Amino acid sequence: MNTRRITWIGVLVSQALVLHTVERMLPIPQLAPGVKLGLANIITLVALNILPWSDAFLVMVLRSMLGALLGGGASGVLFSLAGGAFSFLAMSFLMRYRDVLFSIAAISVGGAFLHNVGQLLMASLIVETFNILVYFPILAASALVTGFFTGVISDLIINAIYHARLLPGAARRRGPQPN
Amino acid sequence: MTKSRYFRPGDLIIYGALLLIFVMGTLIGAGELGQGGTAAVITQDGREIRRIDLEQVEEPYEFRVENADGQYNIIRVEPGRIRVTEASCPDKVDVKQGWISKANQSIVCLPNRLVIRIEAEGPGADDGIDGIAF
Repeated sequence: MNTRRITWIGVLVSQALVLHTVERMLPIPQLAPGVKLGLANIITLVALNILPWSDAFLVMVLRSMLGALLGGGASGVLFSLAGGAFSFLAMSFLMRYRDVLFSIAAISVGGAFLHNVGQLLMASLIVETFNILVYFPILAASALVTGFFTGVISDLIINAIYHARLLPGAARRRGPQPN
Repeated sequence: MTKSRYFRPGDLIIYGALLLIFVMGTLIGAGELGQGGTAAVITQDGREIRRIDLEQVEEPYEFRVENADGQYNIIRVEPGRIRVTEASCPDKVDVKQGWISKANQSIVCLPNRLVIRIEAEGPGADDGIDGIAF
């Protein structure tokens, strides 16, 4: 593992944790369990675009675990990992068709919804009587809004990283499409 | 339509699927959610520990629920509605959620494994759809 990889992973994980912490400070009413802005999703999208798959996966695992420990304690870890893994798998699959079939905004929306689905599935495993299907409509609606928002922000960040020439090894990945 | 960075044809599949879930879920759920539920069922670790008929409540009161690890939630009951007012869990999601009063609404405190769910009771409660599947 070279220094550049370690640095990128470290920077992205720490940025995700900052976003996670800032998001918890925002006074947003809790509409339903799982509904939130999902700012840390921005980092997963950026990682998927600028890092190899395995490193992006590592960023997702680290940020889910550390974010849960910072926020709510050990009981949140499983929960956070379930959401992170669901959205990561969905987005890394959709990302193959980025700009061909799907825009980054829609990829982000899909990831946001599956993040919530993953968390609620884990919740229903822990608390047996919890009927998650009741929450699907509100989660779908909130994913449409928050996912689009985080998707556009991710795109701006990814462009900025490319334009700053921070990635000499970027040739292994397709650059962003010109406007 | 201009070729936009934030729109590709395939997006319609994703947006359409989520809109469908939203519309269908709301239509199906509206019937169930709409009726005022009467029974608040409190479960801990999957076991029902208390059942309160919210329509029989006359004076507001509070009580404390504690689990085996010493973690607690304080639950407030008023005529027709129920909420968690205080909890030992770190995230306080259950407290922030506020009052619930309609059938199928629930408050969940995952760290303490506590669920409060409102069930529709009385005549006609079983006539509705008893599950939604996607």
